Amino acid sequence: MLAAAIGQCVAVATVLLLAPLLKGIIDNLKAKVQSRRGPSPLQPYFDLRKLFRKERSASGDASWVFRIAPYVAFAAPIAFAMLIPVLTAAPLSWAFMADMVGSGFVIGIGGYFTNLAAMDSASPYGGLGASRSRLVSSLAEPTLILIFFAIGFISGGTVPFVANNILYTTSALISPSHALIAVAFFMVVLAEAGRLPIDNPTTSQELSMIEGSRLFEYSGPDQALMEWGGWMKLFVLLIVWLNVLIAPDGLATQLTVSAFAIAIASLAVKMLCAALLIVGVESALAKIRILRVPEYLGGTFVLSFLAVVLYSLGR
Amino acid sequence: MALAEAVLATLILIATFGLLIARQVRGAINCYAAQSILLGGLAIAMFAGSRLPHLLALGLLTIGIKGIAIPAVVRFQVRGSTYQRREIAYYVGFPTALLLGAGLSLVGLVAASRLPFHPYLLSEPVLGLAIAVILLGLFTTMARRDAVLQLAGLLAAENGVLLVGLVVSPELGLLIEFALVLDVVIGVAVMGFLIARMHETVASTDTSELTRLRG
Repeated sequence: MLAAAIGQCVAVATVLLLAPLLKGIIDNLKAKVQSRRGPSPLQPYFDLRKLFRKERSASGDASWVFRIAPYVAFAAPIAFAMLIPVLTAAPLSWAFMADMVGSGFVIGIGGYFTNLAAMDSASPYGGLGASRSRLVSSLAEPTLILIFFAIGFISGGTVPFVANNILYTTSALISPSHALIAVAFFMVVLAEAGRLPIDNPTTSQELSMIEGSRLFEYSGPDQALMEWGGWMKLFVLLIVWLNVLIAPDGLATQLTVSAFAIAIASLAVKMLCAALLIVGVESALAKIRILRVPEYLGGTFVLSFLAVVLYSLGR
Repeated sequence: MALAEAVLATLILIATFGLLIARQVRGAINCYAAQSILLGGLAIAMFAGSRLPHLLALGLLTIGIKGIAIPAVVRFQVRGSTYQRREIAYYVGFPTALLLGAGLSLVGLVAASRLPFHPYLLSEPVLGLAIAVILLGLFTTMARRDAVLQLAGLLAAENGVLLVGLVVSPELGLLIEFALVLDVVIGVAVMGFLIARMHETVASTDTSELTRLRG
């Protein structure tokens, strides 16, 4: 029991500490692709240190929502990390608190509070970003639900750990419907985490922002928590993609130090591959017009729909 | 069926969807090239599993001719205004095309599941994907007004036929498959010249403009 609790803490700490590194590596590699030297991969840590030392300021008209939103946005991915197989293949103590739909709610509540806070500050850009991010999320929702259905079909369970075990041990891993789910989920992860082609995370033009414009009113530690939460969101969503859907190899099956070390190393390697993939996608594609976002997410819906059909026909 | 085959067959379907919703001639040609290269990769992956030598030859031919040569020829023939144009003319809008494409894929998958079929190298879902690719390619030729897009749709459907061939009879002789590939090259040459002449005559590759030719 104690070992499981420690394992859970290690998993959460891994997410906390490696998420800024993933952001740093993606930024660095993207700069390399564009023939720039780019910021150091450790830059996000320096940014966090700088922001935590600054003082916070808030609009006098802002309500309590504005003040608690950074903590919710920061806590949501951490709670989510307890529900998914970050390092261990076997479920840990708190893994059965929620299934995939429940963990979807957990990760969604961070975005919900970020949106409320963006509108609460009455900054025009905040409202714009909140409305756009709702557009993206509401269109990603049907796809996610269908993906959960499909995984539930294939693995007979909707708890992420169970799905991971079943997918790993059966031949379900190598069917076309599984491949369709994997592609659709990756496209949704890009949309949900505010990456290209839906949202350009490095843009400085307020009018084209989705995620970035929601954080304008925040400063100091609040901004640090918000940004850190955003990086962790991408990190945990990629963990689901990698450890549940694509490559469950390397997860610890026993609660020993060496097994955890292997699990962390394999997660780092998998994340590096995912970072390379994201850099490739972001270097090849331009941001699409906001009115074409429904087509992109409609495409993911069609893929996951075909996955469900294909699987139910094959039985 | 191995992992590579399943993933490649799935990506072929996704590339065909990409062709269906491509908004530019350039993007459509790239989707066709990607689809052909994936198809060639699938044949090579099947060779790795089965050691049938003609599958390797077929894969390399497909990548070389359909993945590289034909797209290059089409790009050369439609260079200039058509290639650079951002938005193409269409009969069916893009979201509608996507939904209808999903319906057509559904038809293909259901049809394949009803066919009497004995899996040999590839499994039954791939047959469904292959029929879906044929239907999507033919739908592209109907939904788009631009002659280049119609050509790309026809070629994509032809790739679907080859994929059906790989599923149903992977032991088909190399000679027959070589003849098929050559057929496509001649077809592309003829259609490419027609498109080029059409562009000369009506200064557009929009097929609805052809009604102006009535004497």
